[in-house]
Amino acid sequence: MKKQHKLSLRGALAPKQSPSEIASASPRNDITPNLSVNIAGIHLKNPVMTASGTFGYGEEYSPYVDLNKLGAIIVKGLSLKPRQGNPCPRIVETPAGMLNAIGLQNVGVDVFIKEKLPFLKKYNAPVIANIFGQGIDEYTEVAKRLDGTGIAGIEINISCPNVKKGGIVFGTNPKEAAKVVRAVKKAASLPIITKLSPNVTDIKIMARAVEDAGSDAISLINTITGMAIDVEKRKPKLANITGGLSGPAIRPIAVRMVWETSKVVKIPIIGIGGIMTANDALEFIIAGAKAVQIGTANFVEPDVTIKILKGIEDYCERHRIKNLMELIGSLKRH
Amino acid sequence: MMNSRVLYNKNILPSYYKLGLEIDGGFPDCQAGQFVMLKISEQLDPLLRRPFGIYKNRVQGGCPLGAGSRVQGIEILYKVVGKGTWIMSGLKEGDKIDVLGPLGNSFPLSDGYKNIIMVAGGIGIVPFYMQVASCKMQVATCKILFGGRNKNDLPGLNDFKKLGVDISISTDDGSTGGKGFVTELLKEELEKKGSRGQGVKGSNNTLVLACGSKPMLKAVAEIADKKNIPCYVSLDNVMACGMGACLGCAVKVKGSRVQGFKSSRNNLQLYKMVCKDGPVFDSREIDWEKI
Repeated sequence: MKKQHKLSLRGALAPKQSPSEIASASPRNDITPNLSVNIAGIHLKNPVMTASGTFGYGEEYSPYVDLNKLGAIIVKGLSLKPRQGNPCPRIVETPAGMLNAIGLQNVGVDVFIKEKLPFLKKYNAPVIANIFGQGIDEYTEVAKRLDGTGIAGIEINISCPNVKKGGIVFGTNPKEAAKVVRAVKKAASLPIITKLSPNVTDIKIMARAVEDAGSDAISLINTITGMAIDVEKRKPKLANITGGLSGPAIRPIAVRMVWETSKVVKIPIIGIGGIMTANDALEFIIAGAKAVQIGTANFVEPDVTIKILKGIEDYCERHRIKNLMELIGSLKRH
Repeated sequence: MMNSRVLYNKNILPSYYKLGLEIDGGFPDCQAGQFVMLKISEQLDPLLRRPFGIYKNRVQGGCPLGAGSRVQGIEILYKVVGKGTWIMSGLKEGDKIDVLGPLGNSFPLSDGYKNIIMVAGGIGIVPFYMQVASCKMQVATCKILFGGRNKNDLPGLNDFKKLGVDISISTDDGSTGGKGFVTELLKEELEKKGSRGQGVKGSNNTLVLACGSKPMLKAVAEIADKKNIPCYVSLDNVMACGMGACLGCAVKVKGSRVQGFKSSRNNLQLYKMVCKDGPVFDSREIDWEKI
């Protein structure tokens, strides 16, 4: 922390330039900024990760994205047995966002290890498996099976709003959340990231609870429970009635929660929520996130992660930031 | 994925438009039934891309895009139904639009069918322009049955007349062609051909292809099934990504066994993705009760 503070001070004392001066300065910086970060022992060459459920098992996006360039790949949430998912309609677009109620459809942990992971291992981006279960036993069993398969870490989904008993009880109750984290931590020797739900009164309490239980990092936010109605038919637009809201519409809420949480936990925070551009990602980083996950934007622009990465690099060069660490949690006062 | 230039955006009928998009090099391997995802607006609302079937592909179909045009590209035939298509209808020549594709599978091509009957409802005519071209290459006879609510609901009709393909029309109000549903035309057509009991390997190899509203597709599938004639349908669904990642465009299928499902209730695959497994499906695969 001390070192980080020193670096940011140096950054603040750097000679000031007008935007036009910065733009015309060529080359802007002699050194390529160091964007690498360490999350719970997982080395990321840059802070741009893909959010679970928006990037398939990586293979779907390989024609559009050089997977080697990503900070990390987080795959679609895995359960012990394959899951069919919810009835249709499963998604609906809303202003600057979308509601989804996919229902955690996935191939199951065994098929993932056998059929999906070998493809991902061909790339050098760390693979993080997102896991969920209907009870603690399922969480621990999935974690056990993933241990030793070559994945870099586990993200525990305690917060999917679309499945009955699919984690929301864990995601909204600090004691239950802590139990899951402790159990998974015990079951696998991998770094554990806990993905938090925004559907709580005070996210700081949840963050503290999972930190105390031994979570190595936290990621936030998952989707916000929402609903849309077809007024002509007077029917919910989703078969599941409610769904999870994602996309730029939720970003200010996510940034606020990351900022709040960063003040009460010591473990690394991964910011998620409606990131479409490099500037959006930088908001989270300045608010206190050590890395970010890109979700819904992958659907709109398959190669958005690479564009965001490039944008962060450009920003650092423009602001003469040599190491991303200078920027993390560097929010200034008004 | 490419940033494409709008060549034209013509209003051809009330609420129907033709959008010409310049695609450098075209889509040389594009097949009838495939689609593109278009990012209509740079704004955040509408946020998601929209799927559109490819109507014409210059490279594949040899269809000129506008008089004297030498550029390569595709043509999208679309209907204004909501916010996205409304914004799209305002696109002008020279505007830029991001195109992702071609995506999805296509209609079966060379399985040795002799008679191909294509049933289209309104905007469901889209995949058949290219399909007619491929039928001609395979020396199969094709017949189009085209239905709409009224005479203004038969987009692209003149294009098909120009192709010289055999086409029968029905409208709900009788303003063009026979009055009634297009499914009635299909029944008549199959009676005429006497195709009862002709399977894939029958001497009178008939294949039904359909694209249109879900009730129409369901009725077509039933008619074909009763006659034991193979039928493929092109489905439409709301989708976010178009590449099998969001799992939003699921369609209920009758179920095929998949590895890993242990319990008897769970040992069948219940959903397929319209974007990746489709948009073209064998009609017998679809759970029509749940659609």
